[in-house]
Amino acid sequence: MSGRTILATIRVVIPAGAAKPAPPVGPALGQHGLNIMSFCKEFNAKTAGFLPEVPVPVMITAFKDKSFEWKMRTPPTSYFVKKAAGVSSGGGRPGHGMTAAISLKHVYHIAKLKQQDEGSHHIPLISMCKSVIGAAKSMGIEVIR
Amino acid sequence: MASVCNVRCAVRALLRHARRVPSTPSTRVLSSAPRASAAAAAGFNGFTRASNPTVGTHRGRPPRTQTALASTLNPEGTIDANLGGGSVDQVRITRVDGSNVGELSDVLLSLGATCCSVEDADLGTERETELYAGDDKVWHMCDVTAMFPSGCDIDAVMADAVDILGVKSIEYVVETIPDNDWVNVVMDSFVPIKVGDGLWIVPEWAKTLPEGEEGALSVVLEPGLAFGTGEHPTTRLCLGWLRDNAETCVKGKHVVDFGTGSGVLAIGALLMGAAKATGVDVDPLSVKSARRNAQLNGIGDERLALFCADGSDGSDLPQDCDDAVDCVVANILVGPVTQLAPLFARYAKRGVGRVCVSGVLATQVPTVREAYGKWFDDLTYTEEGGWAVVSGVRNSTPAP
Repeated sequence: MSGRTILATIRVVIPAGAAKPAPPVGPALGQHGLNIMSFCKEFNAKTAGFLPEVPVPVMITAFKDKSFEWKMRTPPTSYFVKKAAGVSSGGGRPGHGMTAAISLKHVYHIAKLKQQDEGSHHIPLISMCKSVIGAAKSMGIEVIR
Repeated sequence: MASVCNVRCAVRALLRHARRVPSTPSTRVLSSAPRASAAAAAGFNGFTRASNPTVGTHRGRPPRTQTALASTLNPEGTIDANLGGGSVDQVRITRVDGSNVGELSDVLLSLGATCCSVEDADLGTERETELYAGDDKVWHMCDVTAMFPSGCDIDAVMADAVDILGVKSIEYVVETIPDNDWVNVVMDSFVPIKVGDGLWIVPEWAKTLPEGEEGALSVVLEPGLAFGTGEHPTTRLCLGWLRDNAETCVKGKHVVDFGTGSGVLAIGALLMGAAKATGVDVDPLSVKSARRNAQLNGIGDERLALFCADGSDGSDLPQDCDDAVDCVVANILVGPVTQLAPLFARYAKRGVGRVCVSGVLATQVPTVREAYGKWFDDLTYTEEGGWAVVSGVRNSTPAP
């Protein structure tokens, strides 16, 4: 049991199906002596069904004996909001030019997706929606009916 | 939320226009009075010398020079050729109170950190706390390490973080991790690996096997970034399958290894007695690596033909394989494997050719069976550690 004490918890965001030993994965795992290759292969296999390049947040628990466990979470809310708004980066400066927008329907679908995260099953949908709306607003993206 | 955004924009504008005061080499402190938990200036762990960034045994190995590594291995430096990623800038924030760590990581990640790692600040000392898997606790005091792509404006990011978190300041240290630090780590993980009874994979410089294994079949591989080092269950499954079926479809036969990676399966097949092998991979570096590995095992171009292709363009593919291959082996991933089924159906000799695919999870086996069922009979699979290898025999249905 003593070998399985946690050394570090590492959070990385990796595009689906594209884990490679290069940064950010390489240094993140390499610094703790973890087997980069086996993680990459496993990650790519598990995200084989995802749309390519979707950012996947991963939480890796590295143990002192160089073994590790890892979990995936749903992509960041900001990714979904940007996609729904059709922008490649956060919305424009408030008050200047065209503002990107998403609809409440988008908010609902994104909230449902994010609710699938392990820690979020019990959170009521309305709260998830509020947090999506908050994320959109902080990115300068409007939420319209 | 809106107010934070405005304040954030204001702070950012302010910082960009302010004259930069030259900071001491590595430690930087933002804004005014320190906050008790985050800064703890008095209790800092002496991480002040930029010239020695990797202080402490738990931080990993010190950076080594690239030239030394290249000269002991492939002179072309196949290892570093694939490292498009470049160096990373690493920000270390030490002695963060455990209760603040989650928020700090969230903020750093949302501001562009590519990775955020948390460790016990008291690691290696007597105040170290042991946490086990499943513990929902954090250490009392943590060290947070965030990595950013090189060229990122760390000061601006940290200023945003200070503002978003509502703290007075955050003390942090920046170091640049050179490109090949972690490559060395991968290198060092290569030791001779037992893949099955009497079946070993050894890295180039570790040619001696343990006692009593001299008669074993060993595939020598140049450690590199291509997959197929032997550690992975799928490599073991495939090599094991090849060995179990050596009499029927390897010895004296033509074997095609699609997605050859390091070439381990093709080379293994040749060492087991195959007359000829063809390796195909989409990655030109894999093809290079496979060529080199073949040489390490005394296999020349006449026995192992290599192609760089993904299977979609017929002109890149080997031209002599239609209905001529005794055994097609492919250890890739479920997507490519299912898409390549028609191609493998063309390659495998009707009625006798065998196919062996892996890189698929046990849960993905039905998908594979569906893709191959039209042209291959007797589809069976073996499982190890959640991974599966699926094999079958080519039937007489005409290939597409």
